[in-house]
Amino acid sequence: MASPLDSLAALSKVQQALIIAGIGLVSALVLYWMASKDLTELGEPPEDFVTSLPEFLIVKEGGGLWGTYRQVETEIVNYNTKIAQKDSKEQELSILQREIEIAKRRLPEEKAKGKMRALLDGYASKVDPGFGVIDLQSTQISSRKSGGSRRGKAAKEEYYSVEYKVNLVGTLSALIAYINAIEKSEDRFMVVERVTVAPGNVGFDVETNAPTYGLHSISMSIITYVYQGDA
Amino acid sequence: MILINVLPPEHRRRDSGVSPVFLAIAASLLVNLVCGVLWAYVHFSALPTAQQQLTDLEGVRDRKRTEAAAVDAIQKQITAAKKHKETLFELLESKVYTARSMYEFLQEFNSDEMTGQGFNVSFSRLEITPRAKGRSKRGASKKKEDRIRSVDWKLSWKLVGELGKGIDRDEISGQYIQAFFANLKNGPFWNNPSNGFEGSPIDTYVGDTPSVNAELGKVVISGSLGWVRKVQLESFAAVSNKAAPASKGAP
Repeated sequence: MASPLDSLAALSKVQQALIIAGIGLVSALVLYWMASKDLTELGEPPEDFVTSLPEFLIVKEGGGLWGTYRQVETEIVNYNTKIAQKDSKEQELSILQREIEIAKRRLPEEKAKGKMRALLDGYASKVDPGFGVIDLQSTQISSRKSGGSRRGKAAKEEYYSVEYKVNLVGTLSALIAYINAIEKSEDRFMVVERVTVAPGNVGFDVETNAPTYGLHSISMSIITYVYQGDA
Repeated sequence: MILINVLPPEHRRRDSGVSPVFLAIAASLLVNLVCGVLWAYVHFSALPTAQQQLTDLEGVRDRKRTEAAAVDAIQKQITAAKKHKETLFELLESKVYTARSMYEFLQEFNSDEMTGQGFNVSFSRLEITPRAKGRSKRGASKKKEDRIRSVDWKLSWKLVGELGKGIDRDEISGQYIQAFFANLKNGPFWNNPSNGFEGSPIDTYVGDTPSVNAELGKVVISGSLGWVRKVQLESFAAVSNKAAPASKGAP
């Protein structure tokens, strides 16, 4: 059996040339296919990128490595935009935390209930005698773990209200001075929520021709909020 | 026609030159060389270089991502802090001031307008109770409504007036009642906008029962009233900066 080379040698020169050219062309096409596969994998480089490849060899569809490169660049630009806001964000957080801290200082902590009781006593004893007398007779403390009337889950979790029910006897002017001291307290935030004033004994002064009143009985409910969260 | 070259081979004209086989080999080699070089350049140089640059850039991206995540964490803290602040300020802004209103109320009862017309009025019982918040509306209306608190004032009052000889009890009682409510309506207590009373003080007046103390020559009239304060809540800044009482006894 004749070898392929013998068969080739038996052909005319032109036929030999045609076969060799055909083999060469197929081989070149295979190499070009492999190169274009790699070019597709490479993709189109970014605009500002210097490449040694001629324009016609650049595959612009499909993304490729350079496409991924551009996506990563875009991600970096987005991250940089976010990172650029770091200082302003930190400042904003710092301002918010300061505001919260200032506001929180007005609210007692759980352990400060006793101090609150003393504070209420103190306000009663500091009422100017010119307003008459006031005598704090009892204080009851009750916590409303439900968060009182505040709305929202977060509010319920972070704060709960503490109610101080206070019973006093005194003159109305002294009572008003007492309520005023509580409402304007710079020590703690307190809301006078309910006030009931019942009269003392009513008499009549014949000399002044006017009714006279004994000390009033007063019951009040004072609300404050206790913080129990971590934020 | 057949042409026959009869010259000896050494004198015959040579063929055009290059063998077609040689040409085919040379052309094939050239084309394959070009394609091979292109493939080799892309495969062994351009691709690894691009891959390396991408890896480097991904490294930068990962570092930036970490930094950006830190900013995201700050943003989360800001969101939580804003919510916390809102809750806190909502609590702190829920204060309705009572002392000043009570003070003005008492001043009104003891004013010359009240006492100078032959009668004294006093309240025998006063109950101040905040009204529970109703069902919330939506949107702007809800926000506006959330900033208003209603407080009930229920009071029992007693009017003691002069009853001259021969004066009809009912007639003088009516005059006293009219004067009482007119003074109240025109007085500063009812008209101070920060007290937030609406309508007229007589709106909830449902009559009275006058009685006569013949020994003292007085007519005693008692009744009860229910008023509603609608108070606009102040911002926390305003609450914090609330001025101290201006004068003794005036909250």
